[in-house]
Amino acid sequence: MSHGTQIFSNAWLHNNPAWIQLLGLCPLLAVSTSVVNALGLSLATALVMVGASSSIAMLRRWIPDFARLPCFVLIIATFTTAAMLLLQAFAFELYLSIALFVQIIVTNCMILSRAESFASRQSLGTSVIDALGTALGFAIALLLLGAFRELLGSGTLFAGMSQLFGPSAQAWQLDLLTEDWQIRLLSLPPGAFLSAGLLLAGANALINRISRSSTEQTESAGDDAPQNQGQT
Amino acid sequence: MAERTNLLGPVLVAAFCALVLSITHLTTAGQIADNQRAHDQRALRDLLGETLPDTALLAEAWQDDQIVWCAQRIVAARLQADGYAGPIELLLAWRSDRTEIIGVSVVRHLETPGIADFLNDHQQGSWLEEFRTSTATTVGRIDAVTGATISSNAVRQAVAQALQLSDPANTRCRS
Repeated sequence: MSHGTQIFSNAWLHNNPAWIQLLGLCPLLAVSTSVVNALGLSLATALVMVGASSSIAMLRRWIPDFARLPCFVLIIATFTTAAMLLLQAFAFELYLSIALFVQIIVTNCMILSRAESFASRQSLGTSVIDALGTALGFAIALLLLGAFRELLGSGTLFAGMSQLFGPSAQAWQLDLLTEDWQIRLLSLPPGAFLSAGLLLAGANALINRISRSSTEQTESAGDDAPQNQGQT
Repeated sequence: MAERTNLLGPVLVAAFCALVLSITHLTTAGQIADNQRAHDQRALRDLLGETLPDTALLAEAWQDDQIVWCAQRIVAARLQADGYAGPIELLLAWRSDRTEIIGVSVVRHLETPGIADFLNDHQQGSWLEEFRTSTATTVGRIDAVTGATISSNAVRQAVAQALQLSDPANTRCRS
């Protein structure tokens, strides 16, 4: 595996921000009521993530150690504001429903942690790869939760995609479950915690099984075992 | 001796951020203003339904401060409710003679997504629909939404206040 792909798969899989590092859970829980909300926030987060990481990697020689955090936060806030403006310009209806959670991307510790632990120490190229991987990992978790909660909570999938892709996307909506089969709880805040817990448990079970079978195969309790210790 | 603090770096970072923000703002400002205007007008059109004024007249009426439409004995006004996280901007339409409400619509708000989603829901059976056909006296009987009492009470109070203040005899319409 080349260095680049190693960084990328580390970022989105082995150190997934949502289910391994448990970072950025606030927007994850709040916005995952539908696929379109999840997608909107994923895109906004990805923009901030890549913008902030690449800028920090670019400017890292200029950022003095004593003013490190203010500089990082300023750069992240800049890209968050930019993401808000872009969202208002190109997906106004979606902006109205997720505005608050786009604003608090500033305080998303996932982005700050990548800035501090990766982008400020690495070159521009590897930082962009790492940022893309982290954003992808976050998007996967968010979309999985969004789809799960939209399907079981309101019985649809891809409802309201026209907010993001224009009127032609109205036909994408799938009505899969009738009212009798819907679990209203899942679209409410407690449902967010329940489904996030299930996602976490599922992902950890899968990772444990994979790492166990790979150690059995190679019989070397390895240096290449995924680092899946959680941190909050 | 402590090293002299080097401020060139932070200044450079700030300048970079200012540049990024200016460019984004300049490229999106026009589009955002258009979107906002279209959104407000769509809200008014949804509210008035059949008694739809033509668009040119509507755009002109929108310039007014509070009363945005006043014709055919129907008054539509822009209100501001004091919500949980900031102002909730509302459109309220009522019949000038009997002060019966034609409809309430939320144009803009900063309330917590998820909890205050009912403010975006204008479909049949939604909370905002309960305002339809109520009057200045019955509006106080509309129940607040569980878990969002501040938001829903703010909307209800703003509507009740606007109706009380509106004097049928004093409401001057253009036509």
